Amino acid sequence: MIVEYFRPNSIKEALSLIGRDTPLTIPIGGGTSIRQKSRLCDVSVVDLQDLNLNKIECSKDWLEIGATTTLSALEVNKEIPEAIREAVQLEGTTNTRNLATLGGRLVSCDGNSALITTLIATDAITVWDENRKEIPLGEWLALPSDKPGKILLSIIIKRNIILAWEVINRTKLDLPILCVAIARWNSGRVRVALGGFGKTPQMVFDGPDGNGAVQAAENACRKADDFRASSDYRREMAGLLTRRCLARLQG
Amino acid sequence: MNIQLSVNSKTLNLEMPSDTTLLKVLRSEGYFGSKDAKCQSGECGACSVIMDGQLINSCQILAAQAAGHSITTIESVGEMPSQGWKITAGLDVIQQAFMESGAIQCGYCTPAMVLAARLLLQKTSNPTRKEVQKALSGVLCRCTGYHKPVNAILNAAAILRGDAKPGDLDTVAQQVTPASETKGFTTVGKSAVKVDAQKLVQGNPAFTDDIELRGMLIARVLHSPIAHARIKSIDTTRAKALPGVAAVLTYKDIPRVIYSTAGQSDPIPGPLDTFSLDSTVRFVGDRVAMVAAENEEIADKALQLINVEYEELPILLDSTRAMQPGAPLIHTEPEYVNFADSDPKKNLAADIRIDIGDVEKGFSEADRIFEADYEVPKVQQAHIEPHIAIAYWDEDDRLVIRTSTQVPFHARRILAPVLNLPVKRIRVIKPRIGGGFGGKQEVLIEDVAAHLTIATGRPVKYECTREEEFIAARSRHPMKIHMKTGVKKDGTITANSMYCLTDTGAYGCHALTVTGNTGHKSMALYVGDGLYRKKPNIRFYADIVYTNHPPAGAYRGYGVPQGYWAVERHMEKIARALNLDPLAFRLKNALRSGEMQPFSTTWSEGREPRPEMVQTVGLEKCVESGKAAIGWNEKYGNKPWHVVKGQPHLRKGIGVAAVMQGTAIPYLDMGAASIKMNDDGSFNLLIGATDLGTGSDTVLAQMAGESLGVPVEDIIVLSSDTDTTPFDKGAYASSTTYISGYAVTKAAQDVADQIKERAAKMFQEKGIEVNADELRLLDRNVKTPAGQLVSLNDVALNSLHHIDQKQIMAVASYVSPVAPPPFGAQFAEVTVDTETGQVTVDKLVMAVDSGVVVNPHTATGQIEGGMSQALGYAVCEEMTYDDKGNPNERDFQNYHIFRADEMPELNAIFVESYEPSHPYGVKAVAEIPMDGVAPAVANAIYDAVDVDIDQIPATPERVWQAMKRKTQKL
Repeated sequence: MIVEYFRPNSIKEALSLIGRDTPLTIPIGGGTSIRQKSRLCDVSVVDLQDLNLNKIECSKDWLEIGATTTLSALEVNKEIPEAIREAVQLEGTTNTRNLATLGGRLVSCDGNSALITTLIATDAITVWDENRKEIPLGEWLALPSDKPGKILLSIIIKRNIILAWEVINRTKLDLPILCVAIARWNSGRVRVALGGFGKTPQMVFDGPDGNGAVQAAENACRKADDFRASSDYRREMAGLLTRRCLARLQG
Repeated sequence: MNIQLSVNSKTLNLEMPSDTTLLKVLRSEGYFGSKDAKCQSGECGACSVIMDGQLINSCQILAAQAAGHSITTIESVGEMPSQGWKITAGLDVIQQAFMESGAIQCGYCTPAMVLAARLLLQKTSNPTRKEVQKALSGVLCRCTGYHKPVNAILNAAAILRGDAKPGDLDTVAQQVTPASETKGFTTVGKSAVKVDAQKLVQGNPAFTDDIELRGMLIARVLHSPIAHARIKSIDTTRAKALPGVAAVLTYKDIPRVIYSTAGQSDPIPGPLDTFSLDSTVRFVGDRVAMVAAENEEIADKALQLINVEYEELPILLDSTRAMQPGAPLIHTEPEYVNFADSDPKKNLAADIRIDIGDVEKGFSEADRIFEADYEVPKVQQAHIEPHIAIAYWDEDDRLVIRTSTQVPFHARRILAPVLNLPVKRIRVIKPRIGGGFGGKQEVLIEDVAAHLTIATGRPVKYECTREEEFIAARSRHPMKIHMKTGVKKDGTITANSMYCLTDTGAYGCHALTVTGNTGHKSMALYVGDGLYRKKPNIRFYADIVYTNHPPAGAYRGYGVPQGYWAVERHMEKIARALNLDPLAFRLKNALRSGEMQPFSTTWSEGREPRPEMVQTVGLEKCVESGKAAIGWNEKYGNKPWHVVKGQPHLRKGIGVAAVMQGTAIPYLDMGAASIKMNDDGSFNLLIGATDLGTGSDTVLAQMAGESLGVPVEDIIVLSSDTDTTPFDKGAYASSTTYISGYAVTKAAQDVADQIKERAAKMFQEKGIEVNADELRLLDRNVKTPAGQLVSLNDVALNSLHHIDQKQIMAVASYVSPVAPPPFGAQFAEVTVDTETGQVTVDKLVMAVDSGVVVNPHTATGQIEGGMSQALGYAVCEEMTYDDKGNPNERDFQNYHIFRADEMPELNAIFVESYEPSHPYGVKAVAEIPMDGVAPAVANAIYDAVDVDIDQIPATPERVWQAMKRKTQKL
């Protein structure tokens, strides 16, 4: 149950509330997934909507997306890479995306998130708290439950990349059975992320070029069985979708 | 906490707990247009409101988060234009368009769609179809297939631009090829606006949940986490002690009365095997205890405080093992009441053995025998409004149950012994329903609310969460089906045999009758040709077994979609193997007009079978119309068409399925109607028939209006109240238009005769000599052959107030000796990714012979909505379980139903026949669209990539596996 609601005007105020020992106090952006958590235990919530964390700032080299930017705002902003704007359409319905935020999605995502898959591929950086501590997204997700950082401020994506993604689902708007996102840097570096199963999407390959990416993607699906698909299928499709993405990046 | 909200430009100052959602606040302030569908993670959008110019789910946001923002609800959009002496601005153009385009069925999601449309049309005055579909993407609809709502919004946009006037753009009439006998009808055959459309489009409080009763408690149910167990001990002490808890009931607290939850006529055609609460739980989700408390949060906490110790029992999840010696037995209770050949010692809920002709002889005469196995999954009705019931004692100490049900009269009858109340002390009222599709042909939760009202003396509301719908409600029966068919080289079917193994789950509601229909309808279509046509050889055997899965029940189509999956896949294989045109092969062997329904001599649902001739069979015309609409001749067998330019990994395919359903159950289904005349010449039509959003209130009003010479607006319909309306068996078996419509017509004709008698006397007083039987009722008047008129208004005043006063009224019932089947041809066009197995369904066309179409809007809406549900059955919907019986799908995220912006093109066509057994020539329409989509899609997949899909849904992995097997064979 949600026992307290706060709407602070500063990050400092928000941090001091979140830092309390009890009750469990959680920041919310859109708050679309807080009710699942609050069914399990009593929580206090700190609403970040007045902290101006919903800006999208661009420079020549990077894109910084504020943590409380809604998913629908991401979808329509042409500065955001097209693959990310497409992937975000699988993050719940349009209504949900009008409320749900990038930060909220990141901290509550499961393996099905196409959006987080594409962000992992880009080697996005998460920025936390007043001191703007930077942690690579892939690393942050891979950490066990007691993760560092209390308030996500933004995510930074480098702009010197091209990004492609592919998805398999039962219907166009269904959860992914498998999605593959690949980013390629001007230097030739290739980074591959997979989603559609497991606890979170995962980075499966990061190399100076694409050699070995297909095998790495296939290997990552060795134990990818669940009620929605078998590991055999995901394994074959991981290889196929990786090849398709690489071909599009070359084209 | 205290907050201030701005709703529809009005400031609300509110005090509430922090936990309160915006939805809860809105509904408690009387904004009932935002629906609480309990989806709990925002998938359905029925609670949509506009916040700062964006459509959001009000269930997903705390009221406190919404402070400082501008909220707009449907209540601000428009209202009834004339309210006595007060004239308002009236309804919004969008609302008018929804009403006039037939875009409203159950209406549960309509307010959300209207709000979505308003936002879109504020941004763009000329949206494309795709943009409209995208705008509706956040609102799930299970009734319409989104087809007419999209058209309504495009129509509204055109009207607002000044490019069209209302009604200009309605092309539905073109989708109906009328029978010649319908010329001269004034009301029947017209797309009358639904009688409930106006309240639904405004979001008026019309649904079960849209009332507040003083002192009402909230009920919650504790569900078993184990698939099979005995309750060793259950301690409710701590739960009862929690402040705010009014009652906690276990199996120890209520009478132990065995019954069936199936909403069917007496005697229930199935075993009695259910208790409201039992000491044994038989599936994950089965009931353990029930709680009534002051609010949801307290009720949920109370559930956690109930201490239960289970003795786990062996689990049975595999239907093929159910009847084997040593299999765990699901029902060992001594009170079990058998029906027909049920045998709980073998886990057998029912079995069927039907032989028509001599199947073995037929096989021996065949040139080739085809055998194959098919499988269909468990799927959910997924009505957007969950099951909900509110029970309370009225001032006469009668128990009133207000419930979202398809079967109010059956519910009353079935609940009486369970509650230890006579039928006369129970009243069941059905308000508007947010979809049923068979899921509410069940006395599923009314007993919970009723028991708790009895225990507490207070009103109690019980509404299922979306998760409870998945774990504890009903579903379509999954089946494993074996087909064996003998054919001659020329395609004549010499014998046709089906064996079904049906998993009915933990309880046997609808066990016998669903599977009975699987054979009765799907195996009846193909009788063979030549001599075999006169004496078909058909076998239908079935075993319906218990397992520890949640119980299956009624779902639109009622066993027939399962049957046609097997039959139509099988027919396709045979046609291709014999190198025959698939349509010609089907028509060669299909039932024809004037022939006997082959099963009519051997099986009827709940009654003795009697032979029946099928008088109208429009299948051939359906095939011709459907072929033309989808472009069959240009596509089938045309290799270049199958190739997708520039994308060599994609292949297109086209497929077909022929189907027939039924219309009511002969000698069983009864409907009744009562009509009385009012002072102003209008009429009250009282019917027990249950409108689920299908439009039956409207269609029945049209039939009444046809006989009485008045438009639909002069017929005030009151339906589905066991106290005030005559009996009707309820909304199932595709019976309402036919059975209830016949009763309405009889009553209306009786009333018309009384009007004519009175009018003849009135004419005579004016010196006009005329006999009653020469008079006609037309345009609110009674008319002589010479054209003299007396108004119905004057007739009513004369009869009620002036002379020889009497109330002009009549009651009539009807039960039918026949069940004339509708027929249909379903076509599908697909694109298959040959590397991934992904299937995109591009087009669905269905051509239907359902007799005369009373209302083209509602009838085409039934086809469009049915096809979209059946599409899910074909490609994505499936309820699966782990090896301990735990459900994997518990919400609309994992159980995907189609959204507006991923729908294929839908085309519904009617080719009318005039069914002579009905005064208006009608047959059924509601269920047949469920039957053919899955096999048509699979046949199209075969056409595209030359692989057989014999199990649905046709997921990417299943198609990929089929392609892989084919490659390995080569």
